[in-house]
Amino acid sequence: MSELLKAQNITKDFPAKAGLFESSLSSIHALNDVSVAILKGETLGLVGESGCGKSTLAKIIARLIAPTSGKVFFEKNDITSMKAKDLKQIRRNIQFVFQDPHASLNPHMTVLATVSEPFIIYGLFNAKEAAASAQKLLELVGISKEALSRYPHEFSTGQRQRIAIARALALTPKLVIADEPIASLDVSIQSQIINLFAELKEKFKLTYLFISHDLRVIEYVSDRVVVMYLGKIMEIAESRDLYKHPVHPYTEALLSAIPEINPQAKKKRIILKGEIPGTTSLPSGCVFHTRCIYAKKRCIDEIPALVKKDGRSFACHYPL
Amino acid sequence: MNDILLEVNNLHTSFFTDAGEVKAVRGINLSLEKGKTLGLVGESGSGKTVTALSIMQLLPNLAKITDGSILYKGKDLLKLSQENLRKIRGKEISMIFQEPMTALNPVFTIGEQIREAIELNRNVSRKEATTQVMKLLESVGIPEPSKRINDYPHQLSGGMRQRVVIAMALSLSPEILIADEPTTALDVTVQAQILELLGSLQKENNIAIILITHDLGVVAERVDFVAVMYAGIIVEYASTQSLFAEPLHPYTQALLNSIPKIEGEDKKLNTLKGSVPQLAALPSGCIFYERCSKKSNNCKDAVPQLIEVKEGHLVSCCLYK
Repeated sequence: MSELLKAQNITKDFPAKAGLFESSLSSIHALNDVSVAILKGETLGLVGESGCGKSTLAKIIARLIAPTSGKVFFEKNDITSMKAKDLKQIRRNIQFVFQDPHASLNPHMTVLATVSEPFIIYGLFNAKEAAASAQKLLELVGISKEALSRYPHEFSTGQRQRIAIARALALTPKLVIADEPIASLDVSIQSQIINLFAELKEKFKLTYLFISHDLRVIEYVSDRVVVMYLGKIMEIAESRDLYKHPVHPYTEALLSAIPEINPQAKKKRIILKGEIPGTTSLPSGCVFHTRCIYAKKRCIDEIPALVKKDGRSFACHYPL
Repeated sequence: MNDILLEVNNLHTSFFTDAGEVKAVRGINLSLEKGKTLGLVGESGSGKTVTALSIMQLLPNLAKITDGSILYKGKDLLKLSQENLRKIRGKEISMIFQEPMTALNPVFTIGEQIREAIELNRNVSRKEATTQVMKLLESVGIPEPSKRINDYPHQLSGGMRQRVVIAMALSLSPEILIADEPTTALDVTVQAQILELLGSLQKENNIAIILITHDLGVVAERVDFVAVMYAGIIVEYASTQSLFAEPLHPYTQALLNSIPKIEGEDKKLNTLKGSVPQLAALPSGCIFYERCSKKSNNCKDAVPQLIEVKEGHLVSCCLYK
């Protein structure tokens, strides 16, 4: 499979305000030398705990924010240094579905207007054609004709997420970034939306970057999985390999923390000690060493590089 | 059966809104044994939290318990005066909430907040109370309690805040702890820490826990008995073993099937069609009828009762008669 998008050595620092009237002294290191490629047609899962930089990476990939350093290539074009005009053409190919459809849909616009808007912005159709296309799309995601003139607040959260998905797909993008798209939904609605993502992927030949903190969902939807911790990539592997045999101790701990649905199965659980360190002053060496149960002296002194081996990548001095 | 601490009988709780009465809980029965954990599972709007708040009698003003009894050690909590109720709330039955940031007061240090409960209820000096706070903080795994005691809630992480809330809930050594989605706002590795902590505290102090969650994985691991709730009633009740070995209600079956299984085949997920019915406009017959994959013509108008199908395994479905 060819690369659709490549992020190279992405670093992102945000200024951290020390206080209301103080100038910013320190910075939050949200991403630290992250490189990742998204292959055409795959679903790349991105998993990690709060504050690991998942969403920041997604926003940089979609060029919603600029990285502090590093480059993002979409179909070999560097989109980090692109002018706004050219970027507009790229943007239609990279679309975003956010976690909270209450916040991502405009409360003053009817559903039909929301989904037809992209066509109008890009000057593709006149109002009538746009409405017809939008109606088709909405039907595809399971919103009935009768509901087209309703406003977002009249829908349940699950339906709202369907509308957000329809809007994201309006311009037939090549890459869809879904940032925790099911985190605010009930279990039975989650599975509906997961299936919808799968159907649409097949129909429109989409590529997904799927972000979730739910390891079961990531396993289910992804071809390959990227595990992040404190702004760094810990491990990248084929989904099946990763879950069967994690190589990075953090991945191992993360997987062991998933509550087991079968009450008979008693699995080995690794309870990580302590908390995720703050992102203003990162630990030396391997960022995970403060919580790693296998950490040795080398882990404190030396930053492990992301190495490739047997079709997977990992950043650990002592892989499992 | 002297071990039964809490018994909820035929509990009905309604919200009286401008649009009319919304029956959030419609006749549920529960019992909780000393030292055991009862899980309440269900989706949003199923009545889990309203049940918990009814037991605590911390319902919002719009809501009222319209029928039923809640027996704690044989005494009906619904018949107690406010004053007597206060002697039970916190001391005998305590509750923790999903979002620890809103459960804590942002303008007091965590030490002051926990100490307040102890000082109000126990006749101890401030110094003695502070010592107890330190001990509590230590028991919930907060490092360096002597320093942390002066922290404000915003200075702590989500996991630490939840530990503080647990410390506060346990400060008066209650017999029952009601935990409403205690780990939903937390990351998985932190969730594992907190569940482990709850488990060990439960064992040490022989506390009975009502654990409210939508995560069936958490139920499978942490709970002795499960009540599956749907639109204000219990549709299935069983021991955890029995429920997961053989879920009987089509809703429970569908819930279990809609969770992706790790190392399972990646086939299409079975889904439940539609969503939970509006409580203000419930169907007259079986409430699950619209979404049920096993419905027959008999189901539409029938109102199934919760009946015992196997020993200790109750289900409310017309398929079982």
